[in-house]
Amino acid sequence: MAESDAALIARSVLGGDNRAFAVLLERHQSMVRGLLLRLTGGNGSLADDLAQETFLQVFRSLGGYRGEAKFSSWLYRIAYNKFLTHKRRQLVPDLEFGNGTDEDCPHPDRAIGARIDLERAMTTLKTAERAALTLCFAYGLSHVEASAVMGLPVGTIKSHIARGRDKLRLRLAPWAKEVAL
Amino acid sequence: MTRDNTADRGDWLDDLLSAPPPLPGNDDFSARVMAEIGRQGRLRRLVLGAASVIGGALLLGLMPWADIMALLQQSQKLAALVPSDRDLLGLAAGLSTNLAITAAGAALLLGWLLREG
Repeated sequence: MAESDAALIARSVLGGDNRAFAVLLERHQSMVRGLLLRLTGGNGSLADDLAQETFLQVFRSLGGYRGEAKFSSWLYRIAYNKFLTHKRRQLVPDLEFGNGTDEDCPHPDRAIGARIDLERAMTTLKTAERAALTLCFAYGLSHVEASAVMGLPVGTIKSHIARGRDKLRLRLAPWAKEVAL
Repeated sequence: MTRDNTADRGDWLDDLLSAPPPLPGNDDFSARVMAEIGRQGRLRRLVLGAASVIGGALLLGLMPWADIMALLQQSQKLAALVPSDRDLLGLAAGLSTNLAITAAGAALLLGWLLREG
């Protein structure tokens, strides 16, 4: 049976066991990298650099984790803040990644095509909309949990989700019948 | 924690959104992070070690100054006691030794940082 996050954290913090941290890293890295890939608009190398910074900070401050939120939520919060810090430093405008209007034709393979177009359409959303949709839909966080991760009121999270879905529904309209089949 | 966003789900877009996002292509991500953690750990230990050596050297360097101050106070009080040339030479030698140890420690640390960086 797999060791719980809490047990691994205890081994890492109290026993200085780096192998325990390696297991935590292996367990959660795909979610953190996936979130950051979406936030960076598909920039894989930047997403991995930010993910590395995230896990280095997690390693340094693991002793300060009090278990008040799920460990994964704590990770997402650090990753999200890393991205916001990077964005502020680079003065990246929110809609830098394109407008998505030139690629409205559905991909011949339905499942893959829909996923590709979804990622493309995601880049046209605001950062908070992308983060809220990813946390609540792909990672299954509740609005309350997403609110804690993003440091925003629950009502604002709901607004971001509603606006993000409306924009995606418009962008991905050609897929409505294809995917539903 | 109770889910409160189940009402969001149900149509084709929500099904699409529920799939996990893709991953960057770097397969050795975990190994890279663990290597960096190891490197930073070694760096931290070295800096702490070097700081201890340099701190110790500086502490030793302060001792002759304390002797000097004590001597000056005594000489003021007694108005007759003047440090001999031999005393001053000894104090200078002590200070020079400690400065040399400090400089060597700093040079070692700088060399290591340049090699690692």
